[in-house]
Amino acid sequence: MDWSVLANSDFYAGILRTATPLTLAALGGVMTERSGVTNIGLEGLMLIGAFFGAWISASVGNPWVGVMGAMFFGGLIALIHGVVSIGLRGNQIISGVAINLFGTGITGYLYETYVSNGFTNLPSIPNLTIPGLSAIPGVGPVIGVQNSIVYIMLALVAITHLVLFHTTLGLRIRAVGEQPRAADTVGVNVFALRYLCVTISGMLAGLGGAYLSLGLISNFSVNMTSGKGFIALAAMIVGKWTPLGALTASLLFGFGLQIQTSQLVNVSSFASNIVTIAPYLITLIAVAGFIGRATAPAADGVPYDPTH
Amino acid sequence: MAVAAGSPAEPSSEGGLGQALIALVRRLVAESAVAAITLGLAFVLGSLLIICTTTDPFAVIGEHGFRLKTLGLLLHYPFNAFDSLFSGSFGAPDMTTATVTFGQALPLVFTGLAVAFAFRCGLFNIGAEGQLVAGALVASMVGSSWSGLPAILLVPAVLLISLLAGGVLGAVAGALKAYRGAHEVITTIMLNYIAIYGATAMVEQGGPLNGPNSNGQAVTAHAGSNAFLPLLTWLGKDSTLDAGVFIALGCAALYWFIFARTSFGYEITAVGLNPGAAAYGGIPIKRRMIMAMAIAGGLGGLAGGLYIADPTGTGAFQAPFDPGWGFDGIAIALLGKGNPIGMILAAILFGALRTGSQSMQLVGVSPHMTEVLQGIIVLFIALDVIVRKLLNRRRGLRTPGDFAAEWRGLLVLAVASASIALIFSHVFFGALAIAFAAVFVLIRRQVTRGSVAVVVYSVICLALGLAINQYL
Amino acid sequence: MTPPTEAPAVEMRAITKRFGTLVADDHVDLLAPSGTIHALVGENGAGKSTLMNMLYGLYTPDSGEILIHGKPVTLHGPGDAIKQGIGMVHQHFMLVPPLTVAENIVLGAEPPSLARFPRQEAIRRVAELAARYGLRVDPTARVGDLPVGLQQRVEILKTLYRGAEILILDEPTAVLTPQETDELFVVLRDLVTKGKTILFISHKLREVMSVADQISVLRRGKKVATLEKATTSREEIARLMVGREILPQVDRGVSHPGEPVLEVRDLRCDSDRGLSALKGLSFTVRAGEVLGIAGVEGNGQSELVDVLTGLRHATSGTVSLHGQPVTNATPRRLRDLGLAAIPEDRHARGLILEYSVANNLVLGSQNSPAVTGGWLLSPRRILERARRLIGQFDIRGAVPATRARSLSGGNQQKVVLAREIESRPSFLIAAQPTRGLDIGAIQFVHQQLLAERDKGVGILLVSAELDEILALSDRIAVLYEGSIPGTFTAEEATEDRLGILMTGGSLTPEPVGG
Repeated sequence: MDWSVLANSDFYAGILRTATPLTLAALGGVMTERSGVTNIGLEGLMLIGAFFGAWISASVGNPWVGVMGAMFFGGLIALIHGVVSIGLRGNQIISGVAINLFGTGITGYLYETYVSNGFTNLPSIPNLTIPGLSAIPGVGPVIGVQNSIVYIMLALVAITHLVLFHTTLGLRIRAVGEQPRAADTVGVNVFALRYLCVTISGMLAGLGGAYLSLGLISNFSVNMTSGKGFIALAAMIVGKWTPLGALTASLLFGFGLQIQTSQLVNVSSFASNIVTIAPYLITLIAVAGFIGRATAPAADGVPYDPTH
Repeated sequence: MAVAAGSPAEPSSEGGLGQALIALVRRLVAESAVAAITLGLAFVLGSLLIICTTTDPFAVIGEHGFRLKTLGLLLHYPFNAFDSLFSGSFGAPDMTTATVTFGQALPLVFTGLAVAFAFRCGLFNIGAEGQLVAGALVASMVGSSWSGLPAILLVPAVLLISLLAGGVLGAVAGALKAYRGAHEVITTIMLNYIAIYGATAMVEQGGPLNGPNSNGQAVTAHAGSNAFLPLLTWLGKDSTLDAGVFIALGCAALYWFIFARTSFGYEITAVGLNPGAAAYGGIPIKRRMIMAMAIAGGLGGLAGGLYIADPTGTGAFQAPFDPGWGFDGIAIALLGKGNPIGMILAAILFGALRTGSQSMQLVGVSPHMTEVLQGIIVLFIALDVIVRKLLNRRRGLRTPGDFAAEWRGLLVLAVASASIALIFSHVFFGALAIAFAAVFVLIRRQVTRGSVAVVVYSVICLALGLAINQYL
Repeated sequence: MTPPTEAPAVEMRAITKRFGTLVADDHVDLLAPSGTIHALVGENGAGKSTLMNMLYGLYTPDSGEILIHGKPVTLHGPGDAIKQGIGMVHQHFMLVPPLTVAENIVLGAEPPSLARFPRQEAIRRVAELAARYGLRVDPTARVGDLPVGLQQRVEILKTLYRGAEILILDEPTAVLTPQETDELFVVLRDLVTKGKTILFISHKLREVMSVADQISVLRRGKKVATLEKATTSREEIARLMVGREILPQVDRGVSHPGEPVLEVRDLRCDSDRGLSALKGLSFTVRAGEVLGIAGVEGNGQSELVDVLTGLRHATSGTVSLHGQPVTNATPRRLRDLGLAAIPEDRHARGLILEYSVANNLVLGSQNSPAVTGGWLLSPRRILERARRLIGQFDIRGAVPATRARSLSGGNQQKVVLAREIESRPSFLIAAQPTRGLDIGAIQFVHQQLLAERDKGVGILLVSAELDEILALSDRIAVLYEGSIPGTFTAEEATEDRLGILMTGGSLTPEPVGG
C-alpha cells in the first residue's frame, strides 16, 4: 500500500475524471426512470456517443460539433427505445438489451469499416482552467483544471436537480413516473413527457460517451465503455434516482476505480480487483433494501395504457 | 414481471409421449412464422447497412437508373457478406465447418435454457454470463485438484460442481426477489459483474487461484485431460465437437420433460402465469421462484463447466473470461420462445453468426455486423406482441381442427429455405425445404395444393441452385 | 322545502347506458337543486357509479340529456365537465403519493411562471382555498403520509381549485373511520352553505340519512324513488334498495348439520390500506349446513375470505378447521385439511387463463396420486378427469385443451367450481360464486352448492346478492364494517331485517324520522 498516493491531488482529480462519464449516463438514467421508463441500454448509448463524437469530430475538425453529434445520435437511438417502450408498449428490459447489443455492434462495425486504425490527431475537447479556483493550493489542481466536459457535467447535475425538483416541468415529470393515471386525469401529457425524458437520457449518455473519446483520451476503441454504462445504472440506483445522488455515487465508484488505476495498491493484486467489485456489491445490497429503501419511481418500467 | 414468451409448453393434456412430442413440434411451427419474419427483417436492415457503408448507393443509382440491374449491383454486397457468413458456418462439403458452428452453439444452448427456465417462472435471468463464469472457474479448480481421478468420475464431478456454482448465483438472485422484492434484472446484472471481476481477482497473479504454471498470466491450474469430454471424431477426423452435444440435447429434453410432465414444472409455469392463482391453489410461490432461479443458474454454470471440459481447450480458466454467451442466451431464449427445439435452432443460428462472422471480414464486412443483427433481432422480439397482431394470429378457441392453420408455418419455412437455397446455392437449404414440406404432408396426412406448390418450388430452387453452382 | 326559483344545478333526464347486453342505467332521472346534498343509493351493480361517471364525462349516455343550471350540455370528457364546474372525487384516489398536498392540487393547472415552480404561490393559493372552505390541511405535507381522511380532503380541494360548483363523491366514506366521516359531513354541509351542490354515492344508510337532503334510490339500473330525507326512514330506503327479485328458486330442502367444521373466534385483520377490516369476528360453520355472510361489498368480506384461505395475515383471533388450529396456516395446509374455495375474482385468483381447461382443473391437486401416477403428471388421468368434469358440470364451449381464457365467464366459473368440488372438500368457501353469470349458470351453481351441503360439506357463502343468500343459506350472518351485528336462522331472516343490519341500522326500535 502506497499511502503517499492519497496525498497527491492527482488522485482526487482522477476521481472526478472517472466519475464524469458515470454521472452523465446516470443523470440520463435518472431523467428517464423518473418519468417511468426503464432504460438499461445506457452502455450502448454511451458507446454510440463515444464513437460518433470521435468520428464527427475527426470528419468535421471541430470537437464541439463532435459532441453535438454524439448527443444527437444518442438521443436518436434512445428515441427508438422510446417508441418501442412508450408508443408500442413493448418490453422495456428487452428493448434495453437490444439497444446495448445494437450500440456495441454498430459502433464496432462502423469503426472497423471506416476508421479501423484509431483516430490520429483527433480534435478533442480542451481543458479549462478556472482562474481563481486553480490557484488554491491542494484543491486547485483537482477542481480548477479539468476538461470542459467535467464542468459541463457539474453544471448539468445542478440543472437537472433544479429542473426535476424546482420547476413545473419537473413536477409533472415526477408525477408521470409515479402515478401516470393521476397525471393524465388532470391533463398532463404522459406520453410527451416520457418521450422527452427518454430522448434526454440518450443525449446525456451520449455526452458521457463523447467525454470518453474526446475528453478523457483522444481516441476510440471498440467497446471502450467496458461496462461503465452498467456502473452508471448502479450509481443511479444507489443515488436513489436523484441527480445529486447520482453524482455522489459516481464519485464513490470513481474512488474505487481510482484505487485500482493509481498505485495505491499493487495494480494487479487481489485486493484491487476486489475493489472493482464494490460498486456492484453495493448496488446489490441497496436493491435488496438493506441500506434503506432504494425505491424506483412507482410507475417505472410499466407501460401506460390509458384505456386501462 | 412475467414475460409471456409465447405459448408455454404447458403440461400436456394430449395423451402419450409421442403425442406430446408432436404437440411440441406443432407449437414450434406455429411460432416459427413470427421468428422467420423477425429474422428476415433483421437481414433486410443489415443488408441496407452494408449497402450504405460499402458503396455509395446514390452513385450507383445515378449511374444505372432504377432498374433491376441496379438492384442486383447493390444487393451484390450484402449477398457476398451473408454468403460468406453461411459458408463460414456451414459451407464445407463435409461437416467440418458445421461442427465448428455446432461447437459454438453448444454453450449457447445452455445459456438459452438458463434464461428460458427462469422465464417460465416469470423471472428475467440476465445473469447467465456470471453463472457460466462461476461454473467455469469452479470446474477448473476441481478439475485440476482432482486430476488424478479417472475420467469417468472426474468429468461428472467437474460438470456437477459447475452446475452447483451457477445454481448458487441463481438462487441468490431468486431469494432476493422472493423475500426482498429485489428486481431480478438488476440483481443478476450486478451478480454478473461480481462473478466476472471476482473470478479475475481470484485468478490473477497473486490471487489465491492462480495456477502454478501460469507464467505471469491470470490463469488457473490446468485440469488434466481426465476432465475432458470425449471428442466426437466419427463426425470427421478434424471434428471439434465433443460429447457435450449429448449433454446439451439431454438438458433440452429434460427441460421439455419437466414442463410437459412433472407437477414441479406445472407449478413453476403457474407461478409465472398467475402468482395469485398459484398461491390460491396451494403452490408455495417463494420456494418455486428460488428453485427456478437456482436451476436456471445451474444451467448457466454448466455452460462454463463444459467449456472447461472441452478437449480442444486448455482446461484452465483464464481471466478475463467474458465470452458473451450469457447475453446471447437472452436472445436465444426469446427467439426460441421457450420451446426447446426452437432454442436449439436459435442457438445454432447464433453459433453460425459467431463462426461465420470472421469469414465476412474476407469480403470486407466487419464481423460486428452480427452484433448489429442480434440487436435488431432482439429489438423486434421486444415488439413481439405487435408482430403477432400484424400477423393477426387468433389465439382463441383451440379445437383440434384449428391446428391445421398453424401447420402452414411449416410451408412458410419451406418456402424460405428454398429461396435461401436458390440465392446462395446451398444444397443444405434446399434439402431442408423439401424436408419441411414432407413433414407437413406427413402430419396432415393429406396433400394440399399449397404443399404441392411448395414442394415444386423447392425442387425448382434446388435444381436451379445446383445448376448455378455447377456452371458458374 | 321552498320551491326552486332557479334552474336545478344538475338535471339528468332519461339517461340510458348500455355496455354490450348489460343495461347499466335505464332511463334514469335525477334532479339536484343548487345548494343541496343529493345521495344516490343502491346495491352493487345498481348503476350509481355509471350514472355519475356520465355526469363527469367519463362515459357518454346512449340516450337522454344532461342539463347544468338548466342548460343542456354534452360532455366528451372530464375536461368538459370541469369547464361546466363539475368535479369528481373517485373511490380510488388519483393522487401522487410522494408529492406534497399543494403540488398534487395544482398539478396540471399550476400557477403560471417562467421557469421555477412557484412553490410559495401554490402553497398560498392552496392555504387560502383550504381556509375558505374550512378544509384544514397542511399544504406542505407529503400526500403519501396523510391519513385517508386528509387525502380525501386533498381530492376535494383539487376540484374546488378548478372551480367546481358541483361535486360528485363516489363512496366517500368507504375508506374513512367514523370520526373522519363525521368531519367530512361537517365539511359537506359547510360547502353547501357556500352554494355548492353535492352528489354522493353511498350504500351506508345511516350516513346518508344524517347528511343528505334528498335521496335517489337505484335498483338494477332503474331509478325506483326519489325521497326527501325529512319524510322517509332508513327502513323504507333499505326496502326500496334491496327489493324483491324473482329468481327461479332452487329447493333448499332441509339441512342436517353435524359437527362444527370451521370455528372462528374473535378474528381480526387489517385491510390493504392498514385500517382494521375485521374487528373480532366469531362464528361457526357446521358440516352439512350453509352459513351465508350477507352484506354490501366493502365491509370486510374480501378480507375474511383472504384470511380463511391463508392469503392474508390475521392479526389476532383463532381459526380452526376440524378442531385443528389453522390460524395463519399456509394455503397448502388448509387444502390438505379439506378446505376448498371459490374466489370472488376468478381471473386474479381462480384461474390461470393461459392454461388449458384440463390444467386448470388440476390446480391444487397437481401432487395428488389421483392426478399423478406416481411422481409424474399423467396426461391420461388429467385428460380423463377433464372430460369427466366437463361433462358433469356442463362446461360449454370447451374440450380439455381449450384455453381457459376463451371460455365465457359462466363457464370459467364452472371450471373453478368443478375443480374445487372435485377435491372432495369438507369445507367449502364460495365467495360471490355467481358474479357475472346468467340465470342458467346461477341455477346450476346453486344446485351444486346445495348438493355439496347434502353430502355433508360445510359451506361458507359470502355474497353481496341478498337473494342468493336467502335462497341457499341455512343460517345467515350479516357483516357490516368488520363486525357481525346479527345472525339469523333461515326462518328468522327477512329482507327487511337483513337490509337494516346490512346498511348500518339496528333492530332495536328507533325514534321516528331518523
